[in-house]
Amino acid sequence: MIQEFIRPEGVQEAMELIAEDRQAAFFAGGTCINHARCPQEVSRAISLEALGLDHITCTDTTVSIGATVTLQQLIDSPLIPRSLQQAAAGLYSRNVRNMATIGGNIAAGWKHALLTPVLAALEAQLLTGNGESIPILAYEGSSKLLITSVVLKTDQRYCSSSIYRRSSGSAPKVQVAVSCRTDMTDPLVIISGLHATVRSLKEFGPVFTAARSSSEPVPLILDALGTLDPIDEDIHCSRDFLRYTSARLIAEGIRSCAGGAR
Amino acid sequence: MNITFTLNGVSRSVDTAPGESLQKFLQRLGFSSVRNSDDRYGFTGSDTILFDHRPVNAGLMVTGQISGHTIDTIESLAGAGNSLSAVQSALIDAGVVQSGYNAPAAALLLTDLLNRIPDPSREEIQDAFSGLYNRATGYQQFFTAVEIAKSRIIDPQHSRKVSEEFRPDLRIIGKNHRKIDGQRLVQGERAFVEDMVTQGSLVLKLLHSPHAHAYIREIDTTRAEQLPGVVLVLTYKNVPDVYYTPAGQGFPEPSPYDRRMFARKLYHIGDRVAGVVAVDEQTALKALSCIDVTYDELTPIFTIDEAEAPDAPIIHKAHISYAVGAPDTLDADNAEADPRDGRIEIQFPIGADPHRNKAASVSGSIGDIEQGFAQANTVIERTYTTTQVQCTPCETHVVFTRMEGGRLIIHASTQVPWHVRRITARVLGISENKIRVIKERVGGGYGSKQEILLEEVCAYATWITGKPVYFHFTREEEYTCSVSRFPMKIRVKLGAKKDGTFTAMYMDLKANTGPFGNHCLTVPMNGCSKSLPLFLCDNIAFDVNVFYSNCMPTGAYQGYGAPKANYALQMAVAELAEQLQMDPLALVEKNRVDEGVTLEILRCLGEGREGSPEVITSCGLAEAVRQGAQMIEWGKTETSKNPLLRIGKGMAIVQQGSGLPGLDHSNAEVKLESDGSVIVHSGGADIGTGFDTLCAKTAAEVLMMDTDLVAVVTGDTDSTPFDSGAFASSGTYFSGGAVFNAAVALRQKIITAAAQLLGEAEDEITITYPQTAAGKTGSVTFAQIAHQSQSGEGSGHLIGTASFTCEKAAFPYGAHFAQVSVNTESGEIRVEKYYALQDCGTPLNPELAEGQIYGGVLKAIGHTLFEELILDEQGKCLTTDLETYGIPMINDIPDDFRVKLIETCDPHGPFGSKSVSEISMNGAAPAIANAVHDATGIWIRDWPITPEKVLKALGTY
Ligand SMILES: Cc1cc2nc3c(=O)[nH]c(=O)nc-3n(C[C@H](O)[C@H](O)[C@H](O)COP(=O)(O)OP(=O)(O)OC[C@H]3O[C@@H](n4cnc5c(N)ncnc54)[C@H](O)[C@@H]3O)c2cc1C
Ligand code: FES
Repeated sequence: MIQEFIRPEGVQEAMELIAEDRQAAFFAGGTCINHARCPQEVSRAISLEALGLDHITCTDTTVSIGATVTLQQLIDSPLIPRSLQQAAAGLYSRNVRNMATIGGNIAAGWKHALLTPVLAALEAQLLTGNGESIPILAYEGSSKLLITSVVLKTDQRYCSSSIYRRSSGSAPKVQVAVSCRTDMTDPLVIISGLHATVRSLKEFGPVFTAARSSSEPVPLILDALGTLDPIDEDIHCSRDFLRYTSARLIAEGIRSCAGGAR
Repeated sequence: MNITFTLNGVSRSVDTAPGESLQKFLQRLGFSSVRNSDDRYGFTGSDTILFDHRPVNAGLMVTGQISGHTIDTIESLAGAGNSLSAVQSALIDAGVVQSGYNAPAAALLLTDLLNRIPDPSREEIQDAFSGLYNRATGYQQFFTAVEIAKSRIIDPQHSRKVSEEFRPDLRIIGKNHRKIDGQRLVQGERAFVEDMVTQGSLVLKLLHSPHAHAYIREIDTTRAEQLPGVVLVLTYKNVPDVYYTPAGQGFPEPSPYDRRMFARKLYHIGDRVAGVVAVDEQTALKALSCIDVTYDELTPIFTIDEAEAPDAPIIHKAHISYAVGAPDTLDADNAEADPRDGRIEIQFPIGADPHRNKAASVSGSIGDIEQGFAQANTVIERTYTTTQVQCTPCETHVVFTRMEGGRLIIHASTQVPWHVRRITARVLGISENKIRVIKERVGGGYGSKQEILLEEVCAYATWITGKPVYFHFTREEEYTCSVSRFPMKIRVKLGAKKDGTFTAMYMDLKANTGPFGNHCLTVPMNGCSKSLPLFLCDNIAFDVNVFYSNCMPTGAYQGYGAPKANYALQMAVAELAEQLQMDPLALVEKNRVDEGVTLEILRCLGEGREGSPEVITSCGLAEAVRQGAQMIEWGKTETSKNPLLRIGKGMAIVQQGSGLPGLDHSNAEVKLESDGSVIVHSGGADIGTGFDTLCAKTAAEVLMMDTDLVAVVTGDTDSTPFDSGAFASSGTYFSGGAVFNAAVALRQKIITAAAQLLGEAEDEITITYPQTAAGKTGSVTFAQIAHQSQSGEGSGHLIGTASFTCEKAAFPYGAHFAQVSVNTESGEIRVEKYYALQDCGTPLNPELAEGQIYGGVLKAIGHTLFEELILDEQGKCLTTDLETYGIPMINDIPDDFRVKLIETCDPHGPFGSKSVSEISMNGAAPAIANAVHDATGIWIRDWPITPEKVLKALGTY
């Protein structure tokens, strides 16, 4: 139960406040902290509201997204790549998208992480409160390290994001992002939903190339998925179905990348 | 912490704890329409507010967040003189506002949408309502509301007919008409049980069983009782030793009395172990954790197969008694009883054998079934299964009880106020005149509020403490302690001649009633009685067997047994058509019933009383099938540009009843007030479906007046006469029939009084609009008549009183058509088109009837494709929130979703009407399953039809 709600006005102050107290947490949109399923005991909320992190800015080659930009802002902004917008739209409720932030989504580290796969596929870097820049998959939610912004290079990769869910309002079962350089090399495949944390498929290059030119890519990809740890059990579907569906979504992602999707 | 913020345009400075839920805080400030229906899951949007002019969920926020910000609630939309905004009136006119629990949220979302985008596309509308849960009306009418609102913003006088109108000979009936409680609902007025709770009321919370099947070995409540703030702890040791059924059915009930308020034996995970009444919720929850219980665990069983196995554990080893008709084996049976299992009191024989887990059974037949199959050229036999699904009303079960002048007042969210009173009186051991049940607005029931699930406990707590007590299920409790659809396993065998003529039909229906036997005879029987009589056949037989188990409790759900049995039967008919190499629609047409035929099979399908053959007095099936086939272009093959998509069409015919002839009973009175206006008093229960509006329209039609001169009081056991309740599709036919009869009775009294005043014969007097009795020589107004009747020389207050009972059944019919696309790579099914053509006699409230049908169909699409209660091996329900459970939202509705009302005129119902709402649940599962087969060649015989099942059947992986 939150006992104290503090609004620091600078990043440094926010970092100091969090370091002081084990039961303190950064508070962005609050959709996760206040959610019934949130296991965190937070007595001190360090609000990020006054830090001025709610802007999207761009240069010719990069987009910088402030950590408190909401998922709806991502969808509404013409600066954001389509694949990231699609992933943000995966949070089905506009009400919640009006509250939930990109920083909160990354830090919350939900099993069904919506944005992390596509951000990783876009090789996003996180700028942190202590001035460092780290790759998104290197971020550990439990570290309580402040994310101040997310930086994307916009012109270097094709990227696609897709999702499987049972009904429009149900939680995603599998979320897949696929990307490659514009010359079709260096493919990345990132998956959430199958395991407790987001997974990146290793050494996917040969399968990507083979799948691109195959009329039956799903079996090829299924083989490659064999290298993943055993998939977590799910109450609605079998592991075989989830593995098959992941392969299907990856095949779809490869098709989209080959078609020049961003 | 002191926070300053702007609320509905006014700056406020308030003391609050920064971690207080914003939803609770706003309710505390008196903004009751910011509701909670999902306990901080962010799913339903009942808690929608505008925060800095954007819609958000207040339940996911804390008050610490709002300092310096702007909040708008529904009150911000109020116009001059409390008038409705364009958006609010549009929602009512479109028929969206029915149970209305989320109506204020819908109004805020639509306001935000039209502020952002004055002329939104379909996708933008779906996006705006993406986070709003609406179970009653199925979302389709939101699109109409947007159309009306956007025009009305430009032209406040804009009006349009949203639905087809009927009966040109009548002024009001059959016409579009604003729902009379629409304004209060969409304005967020105090209307629901939770709004009636007074400050300082006690709170009741339950300790739930962690085991699916166990005895309480020991229970020690000392520590809980000693906690400051705890007023009362209830366990099996200190509650009345009375057995009853939670089912609110006509008395004597066909359901066995197998439930005690608290029992020593526990029958499912979530069952009642103890109850705590305390000064607030926090104290009550803390006290629950201080109750020390040890259990003796027993082996649980969850399925029909497990329950009927010869060596199955016995769920109710109770002492059995019969009010009448005890079997000879009773004493021998009772010798095996275990006193810890308590008692089962059966009112009359229902084919029960509890010590073999059988809750009820019945068989029946006409003709000679064996001979019928022998005459057939083709026989098919298939088994279909259905899973457990839930009503999931927006407003979870809730009750508030208090004392007033030595009487117990129950503010209930119920479909059956009179049964709540009867059962509570019996459990408490007090007379019925000591109890008043006031049915408040009901935020969705769909059958689940035909059960007495918390009223009796709360009433008992108030009765013995003398204090007001509030008891409200959480969403999780709604899943684990409320009721759900019976899981069933249905074997259908059909025989037909080469030309398709049916020679024999057999249904072997097995049902799982779960821990208690509420509705255990009637739901499964209703499966047979609302499916088999759709077809004409000389040889029909059925067997119904119902078993106890330790799964989540079951009970009534819109459609009752019909959605499951009709799924089985209509699929079997389509499968037979495939065998016969016939078009399925042609096979249906060859064998279906029509007006004037006698349904012999009803002789053995009495549903709790002796059955008798019935003649179909009105039937719109022929027209429904003809128009539906035309709309969907039956027979035309559809293809997709996407090579992975296969498109198919399917159909199903449906039927229901209109109340229970010979069992249901309604009463009403219509009073003429001194200025010529009238007040209707009906015992009927408006559960959001528009019954109150129907009362007003009926009285206004019969008495030639406008509806704003008719006030309606319903569902209050003190101020209205008896009614058996809103279930079994009885509202329009029975409760509405009583109001019609009462209005006619008042009209006759007015004629008599007018004749005296005018000095003319009664048969010279006619009632004309507005409120006038005209004779040959002159006329008098109702006001003059009322004034005279209430004067010292008058005849007394003119009151029309009437009841409605009926031995005649009025069956509504319909035909549902679906077009689906099946993605052969993903297994996903998209319902592209869904057309529900529904014969409800004269549609009295057409736009509300359409809303009911859209809602019913979407619920059925839910159980066909997504919804499912899933238990783990121990019997713990894993789907205790709406998201995991798989509730359909606005993005799940069919792309092209249409309802068509087929007008017929039934000789028995008021103005020729029949029921409309329940029936709409019965078509989606078979129509979609048959369409999936048409698209892909596979038959999925167990709902829900998931992508995984589709891919397996296609052999994709
Ligand atoms: C109905 C519903 C459905 C949801 N579905 C999904 C889903 O499918 N997938 C999914 O991933 N999530 C889902 N969520 C979870 C969650 O709401 C979102 O992930 C959201 O984006 C979190 O953002 P927030 O700003 O509200 O985070 P908050 O609740 O404010 O914070 C979440 C966590 O992140 C930390 N944090 C916040 N901002 C920062 C920062 N800048 N730097 C470091 N730490 C920070 C907080 O301390 C906290 O631990 C869902 C939530 C709801 C209500
Ligand atoms: S309030 Fe009516 S559907 Fe929920």
